[in-house]
Amino acid sequence: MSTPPIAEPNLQLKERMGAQRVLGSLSFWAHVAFILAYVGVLSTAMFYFQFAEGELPCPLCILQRMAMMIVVIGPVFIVSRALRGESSATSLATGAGISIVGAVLGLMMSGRQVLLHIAPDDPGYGTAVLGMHLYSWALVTFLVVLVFCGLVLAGSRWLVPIAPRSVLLRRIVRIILWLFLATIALNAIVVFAESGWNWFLPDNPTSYQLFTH
Amino acid sequence: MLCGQRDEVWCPTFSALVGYLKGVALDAIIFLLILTAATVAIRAKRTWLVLAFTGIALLATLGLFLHHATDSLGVNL
Repeated sequence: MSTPPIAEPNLQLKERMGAQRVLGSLSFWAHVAFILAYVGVLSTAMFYFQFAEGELPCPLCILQRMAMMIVVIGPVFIVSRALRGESSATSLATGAGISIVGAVLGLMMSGRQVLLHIAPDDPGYGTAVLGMHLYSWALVTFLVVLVFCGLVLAGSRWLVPIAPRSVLLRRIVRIILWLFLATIALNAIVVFAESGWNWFLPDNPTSYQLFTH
Repeated sequence: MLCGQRDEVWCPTFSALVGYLKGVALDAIIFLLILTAATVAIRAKRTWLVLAFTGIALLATLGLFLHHATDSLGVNL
């Protein structure tokens, strides 16, 4: 007679929990990278193209920035929930849903601007980066967001984010979240300077109307 | 009566009021709405509050987009 194996199921459970922990951790950092990538895109648009190169954003460019920020609210919510230790498949779905709706809005805007300049011999608006204008890149980023959210939702059973225990890492993540808020606040100030005391931005802005009018 | 008809009483009054007031940069207001939604999302306490604020910001952005999209085409929705 042989005794039934007792340790084996525990081992399987441990392995499964270990795998889930790794996937959860990967999911957490993927969402942090998501936030950081968009903060980078928005900061480059503002600090390099707007301030250094002097290219004032048009109304559609500003609208695409807004859509990007709404997209980022999704992962911000997911990461914040994980930091509070209240992460779940439901919060993951809520965050992904916010990002999807924001990305669809952004696709409408960037798609419209691409179509406005798609005719042959049209120079496009602003500088091209690696052969594509910023609004075309914006369209690409919104498509990437849709694919990312689709994958996250498909694997939501295994991808519930798990925040790191390290105080330093948690602090770094919080700084990234605050950077995102600072980016939005700075955009609000800059667009007010560009718009001045007017309800709407001009179609082809050439100056900061708050200081010139 | 539809807003836009010249003989309607409300519209001239409203136009005069808007003309009297200075513009307050709708884009900046929407950025502030997004900032509020993002702050609520960072606090991550109540899901419905996050959804409500994000929804308001999203609708405002959509409204401004529709304004620009239709204004340049001379289309009235």
